[in-house]
Amino acid sequence: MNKRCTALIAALTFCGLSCFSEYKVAGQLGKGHLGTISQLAIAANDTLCVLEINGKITRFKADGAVSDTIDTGMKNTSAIAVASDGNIHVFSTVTEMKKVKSGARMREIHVPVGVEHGVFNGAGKKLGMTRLENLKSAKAAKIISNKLVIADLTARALVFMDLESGKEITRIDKGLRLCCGIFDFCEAPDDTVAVSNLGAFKVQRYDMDGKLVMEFGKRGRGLDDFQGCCNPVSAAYLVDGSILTVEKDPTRIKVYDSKGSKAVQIEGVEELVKGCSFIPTTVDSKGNIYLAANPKGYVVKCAQ
Amino acid sequence: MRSIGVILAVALSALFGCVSNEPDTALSLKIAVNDIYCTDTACFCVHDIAARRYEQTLERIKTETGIDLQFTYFPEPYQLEEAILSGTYDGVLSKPWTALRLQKQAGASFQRIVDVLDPNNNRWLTGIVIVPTDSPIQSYQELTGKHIYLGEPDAYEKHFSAKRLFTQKGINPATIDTNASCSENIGVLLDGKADAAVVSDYALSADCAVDFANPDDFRTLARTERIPLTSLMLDMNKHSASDAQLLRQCLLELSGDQAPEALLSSGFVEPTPWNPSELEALP
Repeated sequence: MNKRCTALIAALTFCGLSCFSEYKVAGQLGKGHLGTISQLAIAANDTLCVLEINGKITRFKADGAVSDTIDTGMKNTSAIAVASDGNIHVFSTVTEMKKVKSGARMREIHVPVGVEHGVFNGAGKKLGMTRLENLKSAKAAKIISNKLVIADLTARALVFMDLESGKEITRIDKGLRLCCGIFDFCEAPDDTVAVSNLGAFKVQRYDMDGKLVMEFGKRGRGLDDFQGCCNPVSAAYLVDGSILTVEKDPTRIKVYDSKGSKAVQIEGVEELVKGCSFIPTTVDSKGNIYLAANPKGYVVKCAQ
Repeated sequence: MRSIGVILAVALSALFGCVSNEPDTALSLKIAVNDIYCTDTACFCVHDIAARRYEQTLERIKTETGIDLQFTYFPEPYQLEEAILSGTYDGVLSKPWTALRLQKQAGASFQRIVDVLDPNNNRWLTGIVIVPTDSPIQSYQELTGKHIYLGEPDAYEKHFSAKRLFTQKGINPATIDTNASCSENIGVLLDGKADAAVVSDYALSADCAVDFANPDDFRTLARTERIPLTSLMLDMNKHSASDAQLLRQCLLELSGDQAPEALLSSGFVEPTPWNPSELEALP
């Protein structure tokens, strides 16, 4: 084999390695048992909590078997967060019917007017229920350093609150280019959160005071870029600090380095959704990735 | 009466087919589609305005003329481009520039058969030069020395047309940058990162930006030349002039008062002449 061939093979090998992640699709969870999935969260022992819009939480063990289900008794449940004490916080968006004119037609729409906050212990027992008066809707929630962070799509704001008192600390309401009814964020290193600012084609990382500390992304057709009318719809930080991003239809799941560059794509992930739809996403402590396929009603697991 | 023209065209086409020994078969055309106002290719957040459906039109064309138009929908422009380059389609329904700029690469020769009217019965597309409403810039003459964002070269109206406008008006921006999407260009204005931006004229009504940008928050300083918005094009390397004429006749017959309701407009019109000079420089 001459030097030119060797160099070519090396280049092709490098290209192959650099284009695709070591992650592979490792199966589906909940097929035939789940309805419309609102959000995912990870609890103790890497238990996967799958929240459906009908108020049901299905918990899966790390091996993929169903552990149990919790009927929260809540309706239109749209966000879930697990606290370090093991309590599960569930959020439902309360709506009112309103008639609006659309062109020459009148139609009825559900207008978000508030958020109910239910707390359940690890056994699924309800501990309390409150109304979060400062919010209109809740599309995603996280508990970070005793702060409750909520993505309020209606207010187009990421709201930071004290977990105990519910008192609002600050909110990010500038620069969020939210569209298609999608607003998601994830916990990021060093007490920060990373917003999937899909209309801006960026992932933006903010500290707990709402200050922008890092961002990456633009629209384009390259692997480092985000495609479509708006993307990414979700993101998550992996254990090693690399960043997972999730693009909708056509589905593209990529892993960037911690600086938001050198993206590699996870091969073999099916089209999870059709059109402009949200893909709930979470990552466990071992780096396993969970992606919800709506309205198919199951969760795709990717593992290394 | 309205079908007489089509029947005549079919008869002439059949006659032409006999004379030229072409197969005497019904016309069947695979068309790649990316239409701003079509539900099957538009973003969910503008489905109230992008509510056009083609099924009813295709069915009527097939029933009344025997022409079998098979539409394949591509929501992403890059998917449409891949489809064009694959060479497996007989034609394209999209912004004309999207297909015309790729025709050499694709080994195709696209002829615009008809232009497609938007829900306001408009056939034109322009780029608009916008600034935030509270910007101190009051006229396009003040754009010299400013920082302006354009579209990329795959979007004619917000790139080439914009540059031509600047040349014609004697505008010399200090910095020109580009973004691939109207949403990003509107975003840089909202973030105060540029003085002005050029976006497609539908950006604030039929694009994702409707979800986060209020049209009242922007002023339009200038508008680029008018170019056709959407055309149905046929690859003339695969089809004859008689096929093109037959298709045009058929679509025009299905327009105006006869346009299917689901088209949301008066349908199709004769294509307006448009020969972008940039085509010659393309590989």
